[in-house]
Amino acid sequence: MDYSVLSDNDLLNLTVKRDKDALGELYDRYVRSVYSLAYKIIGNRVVAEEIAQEVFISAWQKSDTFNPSLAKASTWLLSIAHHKSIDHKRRLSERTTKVSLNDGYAGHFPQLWEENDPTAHLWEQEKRMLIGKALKQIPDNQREVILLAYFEGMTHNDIAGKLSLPLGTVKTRIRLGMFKLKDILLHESEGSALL
Amino acid sequence: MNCEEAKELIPSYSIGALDKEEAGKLEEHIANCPECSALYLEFVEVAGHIPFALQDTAPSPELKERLFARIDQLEETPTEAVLPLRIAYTPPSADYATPVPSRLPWGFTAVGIAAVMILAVWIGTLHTRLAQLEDRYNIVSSSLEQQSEMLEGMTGTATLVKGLEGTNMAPEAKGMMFLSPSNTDALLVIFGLPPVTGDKTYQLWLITDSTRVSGGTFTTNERGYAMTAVEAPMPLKNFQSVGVTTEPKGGSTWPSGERVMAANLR
Repeated sequence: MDYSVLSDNDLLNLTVKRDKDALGELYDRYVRSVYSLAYKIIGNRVVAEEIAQEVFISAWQKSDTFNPSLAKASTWLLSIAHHKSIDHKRRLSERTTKVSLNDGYAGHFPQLWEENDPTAHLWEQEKRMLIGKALKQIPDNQREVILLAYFEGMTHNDIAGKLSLPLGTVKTRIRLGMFKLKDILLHESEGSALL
Repeated sequence: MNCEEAKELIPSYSIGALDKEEAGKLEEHIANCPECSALYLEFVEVAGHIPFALQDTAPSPELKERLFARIDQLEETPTEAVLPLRIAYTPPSADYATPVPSRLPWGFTAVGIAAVMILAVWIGTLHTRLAQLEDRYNIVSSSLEQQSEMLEGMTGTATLVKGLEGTNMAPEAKGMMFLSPSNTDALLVIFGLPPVTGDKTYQLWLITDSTRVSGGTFTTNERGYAMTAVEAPMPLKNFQSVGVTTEPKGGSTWPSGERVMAANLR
């Protein structure tokens, strides 16, 4: 069977039936995104690999709980990766990720995907390009708080303390920024399978 | 919590920005409100796309092999829970300004109260014998007070103490590893190991004839002290020895730097 032509949902269905090749194909498709996310949050290659491994073990063990009507497979996998990474980061009470205000969050999104990445699949290239464009369209101060929460694992209170902002301002910026991101993605993805 | 309040918080919840209390209240509301539940799923989907904006990087090629070896192992022992992450606890800084976690998050069943007692006795002996180690003693005593909370409630079973010696790269370094051979976790205490520069880290390796498994990374403070929790992927009796090397910051998937400490586990 040529697994590369199967959809993510088909692969997860086969994974439920203990098909390791299907899991292998899912791994090939998403391990870079899963690992990159974990590494971005944790800032440690060894731990990021451990988390990536745990994500795909979870996929193997819990694929029967995946509901394609609620989320895409990629969202599900990355959500697991995000939760595990943030959980680990908070447990250790560390702030060691490479991401910080000094990296330029206030002005632009660092390490943004580049269009000439030869290793990405076409569908992935389109997705990355759209997400990158969408994030760039959000006002700087809204993008800043969203990325601090997502990649640094910071809560409203953490961000308010770090940026010396009133708590209400942080909440408002996140809310406005996320609604704007949602609108932009919906608009940008018209005609694509992004959202 | 009503729908209006929930809708205000859902975007933040989808990216993990709520504290535990707020998140709990929102989860309770979402579970009972189809409209807010639908909105939440929309934002989960949005948040799930954020990582795709990153310039991604590939993990080591061996990761896939390790993943399927682990899955094979799980298939052989289907009742076994997924092992918790094998992550080192970063030692507290010299002034202990950073609070120590109240407990080890991955269930530190192998090293229990016995480890604390042994460590305390050992520290007391050092204090008596070596006055020049007084500052080290103070560090560990402070740490023990905090670590006692970490270890509270844990039970000790057949804890062994293995001594680590510095190689000629770090002749002053000494260490002790508290472990139970049939379990997977251990506690590593290091003294006299000079701190590495910012772009380096120390990494513990669990060694067999054919493999080197990372036991986690750690750094020492300016006094050369570190205390690190170690978790192995299988019972420690399967490993012959341990080693500590210097590695690039973030750690390596295979030892690449100079070995600075070592110990035989058998």
